[in-house]
Amino acid sequence: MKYGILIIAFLAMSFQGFSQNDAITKYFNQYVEDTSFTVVYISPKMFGMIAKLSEDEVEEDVQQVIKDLKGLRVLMKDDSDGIGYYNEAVKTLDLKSYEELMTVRNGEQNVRFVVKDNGDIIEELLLLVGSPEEFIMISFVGKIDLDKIAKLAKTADIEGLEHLEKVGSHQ
Amino acid sequence: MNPLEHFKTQILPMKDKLFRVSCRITNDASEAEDVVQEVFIKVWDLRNEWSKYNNLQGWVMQLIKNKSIDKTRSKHRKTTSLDGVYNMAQHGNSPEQTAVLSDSMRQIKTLMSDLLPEKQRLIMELRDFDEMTYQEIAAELVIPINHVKVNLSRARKTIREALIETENFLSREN
Amino acid sequence: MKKYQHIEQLLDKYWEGETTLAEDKTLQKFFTSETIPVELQTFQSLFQAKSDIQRQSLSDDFDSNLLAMLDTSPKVVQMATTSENIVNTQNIQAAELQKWRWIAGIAASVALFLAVYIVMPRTETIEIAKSELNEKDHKEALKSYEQTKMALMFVSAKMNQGAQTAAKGLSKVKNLNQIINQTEQ
Repeated sequence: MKYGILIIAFLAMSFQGFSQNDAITKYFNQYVEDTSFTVVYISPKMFGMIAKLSEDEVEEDVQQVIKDLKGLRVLMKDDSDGIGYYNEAVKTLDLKSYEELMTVRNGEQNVRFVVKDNGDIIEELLLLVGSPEEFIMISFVGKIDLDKIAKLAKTADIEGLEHLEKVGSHQ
Repeated sequence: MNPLEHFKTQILPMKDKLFRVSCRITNDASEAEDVVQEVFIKVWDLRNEWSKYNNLQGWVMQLIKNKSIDKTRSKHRKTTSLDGVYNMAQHGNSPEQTAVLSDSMRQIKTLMSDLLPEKQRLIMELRDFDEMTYQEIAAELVIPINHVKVNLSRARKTIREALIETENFLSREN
Repeated sequence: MKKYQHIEQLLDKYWEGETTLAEDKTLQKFFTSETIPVELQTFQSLFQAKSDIQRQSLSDDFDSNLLAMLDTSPKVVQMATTSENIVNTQNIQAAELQKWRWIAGIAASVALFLAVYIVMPRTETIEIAKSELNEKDHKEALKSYEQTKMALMFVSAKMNQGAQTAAKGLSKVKNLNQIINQTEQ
């Protein structure tokens, strides 16, 4: 029942920042009720609150990126058919309307980065990962600076790397 | 034991270990020395808080890591070019640093940073340079212990192949 | 020779990640000694680097310089600052989050979502006054911050991984070039 309300609310809302991403919203909604998926959704309002955290609670470089974000959606699942989900996502999400940033195949792991830009500004970054172990979809919406994001892992502490391990980068 | 005694006997002796950890993160011996000095001063200034920490030495180590990361980040802002992601992947040592490195150090560190994925490089550093046990590495990185051995082996073998290739190339030259 | 056979056996174990720290030390001692047979010289730099890195230490006058800089006058007892507590809380939170999956995010997201979008009029974009966060919001915000940070780190790591895969091939060439340049001098 709780999830029912959630779906209705999702569909009924027009998200500031998400309004042009109907395909993703639809895709996201498909799985949001599925308890075998890990789902994360962070709204514009929540990003506003994050921006108010005090300096000693956050890392400056991370906050610099976050302050321009409006939304985050994550879908992930440990599944031996991660590649199947990946392919389905690639088909369903109308990736043609995105600009391909990078596609990597590392052994059996498929990774695809696509972005949507509005002139000079990148408004959305979508990452898809599919492997025989898992499927991951991450969508960032807002004013996205790829340089800043790329730099984060270069100087990342162990925290960033163990997250890599947590979601599985099997090489 | 008064604070100064405690500082001299429990905290100051950590200096070389802390220095090596900071070197690993900052890749710059003089930055690392600054980090250790600044952290020690801060730790001393906070001596009234020492009793609050269960693991004082662990706290000091964490401060060293955080400070080293901060210094690395501000250096990166000044020196890294903006030509896209490929250039992000390249990072060499700063000019002041190379004077301090031996040839072996420079060669091995370059190979490790160029050829190894982050995780493998880190595991190899923690084992071969910091001499941590597999338990300690697994706890530090929050990964299963068997992952440590597997990745360590892959890392070492990659370096081995690179060294052999270099050797073969040189002997062909002669 | 028997002596080298032992080293070669240890080396084989070393590549497999099966040596103990003591055995690593044995290898290190061997490779940093003067007499190494030609066929094993390939790996000398690896153990030499290990030795050099471990010998890195601070300058001799570090201790005296530092102690001179410390303020050893008796300190007025201060109340613990809240920033220390927040740092500790953040470390503990970060550590906990590191151990959990993002399953934790569902509860927070759902709760927040319901609170914001069901309860509030939906067509408004709610302006948050530049005021302090209350305790509940603060907790939610911290949790969301950590989740966002993890997502960003993951994306960033994947970007670099992709670049590294491209850089790998080029790096081998670069390394050989460096060696050539050195030997030509």
